[in-house]
Amino acid sequence: MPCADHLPPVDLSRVSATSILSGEHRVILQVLDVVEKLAALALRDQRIPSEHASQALEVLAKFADRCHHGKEETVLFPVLEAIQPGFSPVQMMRAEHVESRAFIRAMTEAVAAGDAASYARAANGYVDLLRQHIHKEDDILFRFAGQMLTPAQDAEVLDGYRRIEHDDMGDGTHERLLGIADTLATTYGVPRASDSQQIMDLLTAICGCKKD
Amino acid sequence: MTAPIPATATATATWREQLSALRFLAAKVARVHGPTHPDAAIIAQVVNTLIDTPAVDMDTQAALSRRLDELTGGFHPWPGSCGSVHQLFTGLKAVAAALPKKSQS
Ligand SMILES: [Fe+2]
Ligand SMILES: [Fe+2]
Repeated sequence: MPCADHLPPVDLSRVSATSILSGEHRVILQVLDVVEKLAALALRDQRIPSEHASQALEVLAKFADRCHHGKEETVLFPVLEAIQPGFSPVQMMRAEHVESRAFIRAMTEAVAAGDAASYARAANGYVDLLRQHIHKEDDILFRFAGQMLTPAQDAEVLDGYRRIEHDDMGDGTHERLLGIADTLATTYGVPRASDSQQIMDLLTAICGCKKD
Repeated sequence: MTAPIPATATATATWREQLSALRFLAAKVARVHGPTHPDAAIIAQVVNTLIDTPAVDMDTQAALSRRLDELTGGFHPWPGSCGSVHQLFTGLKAVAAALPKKSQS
């Protein structure tokens, strides 16, 4: 297997199995910036900004985990593992998803208990984990995936994403969560990923009616 | 195992927060259905203009609300249109209902 540095980066200018996920990574990174600020506020004030923390948690649980990690775990990764059985980067990514869920549970419990210190600890742990995880996927795993997938497999994966985004999550849910992510970003002075037309195009590329 | 899904206060979302989500739906509908429904791109532009309209500018809000009503034929989805179009038109109808109805001047 070649070194990932010698493989081309994900091409964000066209819709593909990897660019859709890399586009979503930009939104997740945006929410991580907000969560980092919420954690700092919680520590400073010894009080969790609970409405915004709950909104961020909804985006993390539904958009980052159920939808985005769902696309990876149930659609992209199985195709890569079928091409190359035992493909180790995928196993590592699955393990990190499990770890990320423990942090989401810890944040949720801390918000419910009003425990600012526990919230900040879990939030900062989650932010560190997910930033590194996204870096590994964008710069290593997805570069390999771009080389591994045939056009037919790429189309098959995109169809799987459509099933999750529309059939499983329900029409409009993806956009509602993106809206919450952007409202939080505006509130906390974090740049919005969707202000890039290229990212906006990727975030809105998949429609349930299959006309994309 | 999936992480727990916390409840959020979506019921209290203002029309501006609703537009934040509708901006994505409008862009998707324009991208996917634009070739057969050219008004879809104009609807997306009106949504963006409405988002940028200052809270105090009620005249412009009322005018844009009327424009959305016209462009969507009274917020009735096109025959045979998909779930994204239905969600968009339903959302725009709710936003329009919350906007000023007439020019204030
Ligand atoms: Fe992942
Ligand atoms: Fe990912």
